[in-house]
Amino acid sequence: MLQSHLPLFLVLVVALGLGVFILVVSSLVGPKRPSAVKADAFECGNPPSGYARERFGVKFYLVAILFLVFDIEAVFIYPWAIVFSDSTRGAGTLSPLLVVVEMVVFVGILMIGLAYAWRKGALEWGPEHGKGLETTTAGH
Amino acid sequence: MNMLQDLGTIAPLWIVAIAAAVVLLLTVTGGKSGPAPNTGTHLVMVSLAALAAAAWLLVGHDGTKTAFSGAIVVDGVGVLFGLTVIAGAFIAIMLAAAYLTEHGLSQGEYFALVLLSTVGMMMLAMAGDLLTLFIGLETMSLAVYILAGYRRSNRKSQEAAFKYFVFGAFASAFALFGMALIYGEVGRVSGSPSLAFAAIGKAYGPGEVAAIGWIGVALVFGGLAFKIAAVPFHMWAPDVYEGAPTPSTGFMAVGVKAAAFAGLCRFVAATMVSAEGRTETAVLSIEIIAIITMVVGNLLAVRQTQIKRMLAYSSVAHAGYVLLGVAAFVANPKPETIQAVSYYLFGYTAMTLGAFGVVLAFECQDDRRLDLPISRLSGIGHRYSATALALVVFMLALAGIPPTAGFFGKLAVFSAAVDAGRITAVIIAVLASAVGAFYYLRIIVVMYMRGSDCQEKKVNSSWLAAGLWACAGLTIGVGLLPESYLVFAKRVLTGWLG
Amino acid sequence: MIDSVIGPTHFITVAALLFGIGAAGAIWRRNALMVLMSIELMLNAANIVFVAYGRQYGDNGSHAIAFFVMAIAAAEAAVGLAILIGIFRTRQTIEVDELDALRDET
Repeated sequence: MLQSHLPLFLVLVVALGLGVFILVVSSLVGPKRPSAVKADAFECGNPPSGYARERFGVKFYLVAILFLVFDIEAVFIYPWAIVFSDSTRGAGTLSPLLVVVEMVVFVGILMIGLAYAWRKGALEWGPEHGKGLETTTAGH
Repeated sequence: MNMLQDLGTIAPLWIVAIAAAVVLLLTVTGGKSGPAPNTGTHLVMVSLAALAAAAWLLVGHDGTKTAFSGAIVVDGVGVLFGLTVIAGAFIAIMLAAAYLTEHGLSQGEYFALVLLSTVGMMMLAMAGDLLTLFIGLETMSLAVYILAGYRRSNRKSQEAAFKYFVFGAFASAFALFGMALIYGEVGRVSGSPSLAFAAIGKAYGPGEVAAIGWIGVALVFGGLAFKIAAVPFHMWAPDVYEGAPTPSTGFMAVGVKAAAFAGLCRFVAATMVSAEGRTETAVLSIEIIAIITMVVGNLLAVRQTQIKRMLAYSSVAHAGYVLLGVAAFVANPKPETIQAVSYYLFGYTAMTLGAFGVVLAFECQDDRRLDLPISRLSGIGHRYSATALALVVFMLALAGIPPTAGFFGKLAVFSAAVDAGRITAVIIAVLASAVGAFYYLRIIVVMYMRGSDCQEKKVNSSWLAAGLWACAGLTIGVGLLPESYLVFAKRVLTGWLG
Repeated sequence: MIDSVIGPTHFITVAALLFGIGAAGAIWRRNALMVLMSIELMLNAANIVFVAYGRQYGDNGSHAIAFFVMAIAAAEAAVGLAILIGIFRTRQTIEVDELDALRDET
């Protein structure tokens, strides 16, 4: 009983310890330049308080689109994992290697999409890239 | 190995898909100093080569092969309709090369989208179950929605994309719900629910299906009828056809329609053909939709003053003629009827794309008006005789005048319907196409009218010329030699339904 | 235990209701984002039907179908959002009624 839970306990200790360690070290060593912006609650780049029905910048939707597309693909990894674990135990008809290759192909296709989005500048969205996609596709 | 065999069977699909990825990556290669050009002959060449390779594989295909436990079936229907959509994509890419250069738009994404959409269309034509059909339908549609809005800073193009998207997504949601109901009904009848056409055929065949199962069939039918723009579901067509960039319009008019008809053929073959006692109701319902579609399409087309809107209603009318063929197939399930339907759609692909190619050559370059008023064609017959002659061929073909593919297509479909005993419907169809001949011939008259100071600038592009030649050649060639197509169709369709 | 109270009919009823709400929303909502969400609702209603039938007849294939539908729904939402961003950039609105550039002139 205790034996089997020992690894879990160790993970907890390491996780907590690491967190405490980082916090303590950074508060001791790090430079401190407090400002009003830093004291604010963190809200992913948005003003943290205000009218709830305010319009979001259109840029957020671009990120939402990319997130949506890449996030949902994870859904296919769950059934794949089951097939893979079956195949390693010889339960399925497929060899484990083939199953891995299939997932590599799948992720490879996603990588093509990611490479395209990256090179198009869809992932750059600092103020200097404010226009995002516009600047890179309009030319040529 | 089994997997390799399956991959070999679906080679036309992944060849085109890989080409899409290659074209997409070619547009973003290159360093910071010299970004890759977004236009160029190499992009067109890669796309066309992949399509040609896929077509070559399909032409050489023999017999019926299934892949991935029956999810994909490469048989006569898959080959014939697959070739039709490949031909449509091939010519659409040539037209697009001219259009995109003219408007300074990037080419890589456009070709990649056309290729991906073609993959979806082929999946639809080769679907062995309703899930593959749905995935193919959506792959095709999602790419075409973007193609419709490709001029993304143009208000009309955006609006076309949005309308097509909302109506299309709405229709596919209905189709999906219908599939879910069919899935459950097959489970109730046979004990194990399934979306495979074979299982659906077994469950629907004996006619023990309850009302909810037929509601499912109606929903799926409605979803597909939306894609072919049959009449209660055609409202999107004129607006979307007008607002979309012309090569996209041509591509969606032919490819989407042909692919959706392929899906429809498979679907009715599984659910309606063998259902004892239900056949007459099914035939009658499809026939009524077909008649309303051709009558409404033709009557509304007569009133149009803009050529793209006119062609939109004309494509609605043509969907009606083909639907009559589908009704004939349900009434009298013979491979010959499918052969007639696929012949019609193949000819229709060539002549419709050709007509849109001519529109592309003369349409306004102004961003605010995307369409081409018919009156502005006046006089081009004298000034641009070759292009005008091509348009004459396409209009005669659309009107169904021999010796073009349009005439023999109508002949084949109508005689299949007569064989099936649907005489009344055929008479109405002939009358409707007589009305149709009026507005097609009007365009020819306008073109050769003298008097107007023809100020139309013509787009000069060798891609456009090649595309128009290909369309004209196919329209006349398939019309003059229907036998060679039908012999090929007979060979690949051997064993279908058998 | 729960099965004795809640049967397949209940699932189908819920799904049909959700589908109806989605369809009504897609038709009557004027905000394009709401239309998008309504269509997603319709797709998910179909998912419920698939999974409910799969459970009733003991077919795990229905879960795979639901996964595919979810992926397609995400792709559809992405395309829809992209089109809406384009529209918003030129018109500063996504009210469906404002989209009136295309219409029959006759």
